[in-house]
Amino acid sequence: MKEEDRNKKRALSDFERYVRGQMSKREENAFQRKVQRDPFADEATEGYSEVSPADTKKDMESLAKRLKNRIRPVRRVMIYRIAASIAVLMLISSAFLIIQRYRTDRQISENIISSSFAERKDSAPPSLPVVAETVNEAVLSEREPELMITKESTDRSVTAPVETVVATLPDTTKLLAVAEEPESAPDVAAEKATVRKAAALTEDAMKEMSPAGATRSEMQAKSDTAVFDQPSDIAAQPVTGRDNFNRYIEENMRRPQSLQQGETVITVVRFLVRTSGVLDSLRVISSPGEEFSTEAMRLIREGPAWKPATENGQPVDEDVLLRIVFR
Amino acid sequence: MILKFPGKTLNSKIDEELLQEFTSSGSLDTLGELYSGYMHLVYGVCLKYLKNREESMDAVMQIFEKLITDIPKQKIENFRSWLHVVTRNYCLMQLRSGKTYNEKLSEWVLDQVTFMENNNYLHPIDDEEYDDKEALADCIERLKDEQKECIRQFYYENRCYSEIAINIGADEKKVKSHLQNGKRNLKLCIEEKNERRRQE
Repeated sequence: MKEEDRNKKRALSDFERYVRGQMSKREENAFQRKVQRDPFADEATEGYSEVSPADTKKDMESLAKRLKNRIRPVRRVMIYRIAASIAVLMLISSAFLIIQRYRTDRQISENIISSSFAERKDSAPPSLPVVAETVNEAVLSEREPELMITKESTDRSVTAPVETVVATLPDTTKLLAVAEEPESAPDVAAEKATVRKAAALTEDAMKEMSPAGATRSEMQAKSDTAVFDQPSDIAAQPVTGRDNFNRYIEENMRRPQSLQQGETVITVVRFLVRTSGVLDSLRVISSPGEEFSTEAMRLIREGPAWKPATENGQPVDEDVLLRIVFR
Repeated sequence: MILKFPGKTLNSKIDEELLQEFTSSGSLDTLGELYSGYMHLVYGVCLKYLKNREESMDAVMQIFEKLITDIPKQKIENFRSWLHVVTRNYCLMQLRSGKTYNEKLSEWVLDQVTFMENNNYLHPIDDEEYDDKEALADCIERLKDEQKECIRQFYYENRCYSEIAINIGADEKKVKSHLQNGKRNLKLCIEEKNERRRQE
């Protein structure tokens, strides 16, 4: 324990010396080498590069003081303590609210980003594929037998995915147009019902949009998506299509135990889709931990086959970056 | 490596002990002891994102509050990397709450570009016991000139970013990104070699 303590201290002072430019060039090189393998320290050194060493020192001292005060507040009258606990309560609840809102924001931005990637591809019609993808999800969950029977009561749970779509769309007629596309229609009657339902839902969703309420949290319950990004003419993609792929990820994901309820964890994997459709050089680019890495790799390895990318009609190898989101 | 990295092996044990102690006792002293070993990193990351000393200091304290409530609710395997994620998320959230939609969006996209190397993996060039020096040398030879030069000076001449920056006439950020891309390409190249060898 003593030994470890000293180590921690030394690390801090190495860090300080580096930040203050007190290291020799060889020491700097050694320090930079290890920082390269430690994303946390890497980002931190980047941050310090914007502040003068003297300020850094002052700030660290004042932080140490603030932490100490936080841990053992100077004893004053009870009122202070009561005020403090109220403040903490408010903080926690507002932090909670902010996190909720933040999650929502992020979900929306993910959708938008995949649509902007779709737009970049020459062959794809602007933004429609994404819409189809998300709407399909909504439509599909509608088709589940239970939901068909008790339509009225399911309104609420279905609203959630639709809300996401609406947020990404300028007008709702487009949404309906897409929903009408009998892309995978087994039953025409059901399809019609669905479309009508979608219209009703959209209205509902619009109403629900403004007050941040219960539906927001329901939206979070909507599970994982894999967001694609790859720069190419016609990108490599899973043979099953993207929405099916997303569904595969959702249904087969084994969530690591360390994933908390409501927590979002993003991993990024990278792999090469060969012209033969074989996946190659699969690895994790970014992940908070081993369990997430292994699970992300497993999902890709055991997942559907991939169609190679094409350039001018010729299949080419393509590097794919894929975000797998654990929720 | 000349210096073993703290927080990976050595400190994770003591972190674990402190975490457990805090979870069972709820003692802020314990949590403070744990947190003070990382405060400089948390502050640095906040500076990187928020670019403001006051806000960053406040953020460091807010994150401490967050730990008080979040730690007991979670099973944390590696406190160091968990805290990194918490810190970054907190900063991004701060940025998002004060910006327009488009700004948030462009930041989100930028954020994706600056991928970190996966730290579970020891890159061959960092691994002194890596035995296939020949493959490594061959792959270095194939790198683009700037990347090759940066890798050579950094790993074989032990020069630091600022020296290399002067030598090649670029700024330190460029040097860092050449190194990062160079390493990534090296890894790819070596993996491909191994793959080919396996198939033969």
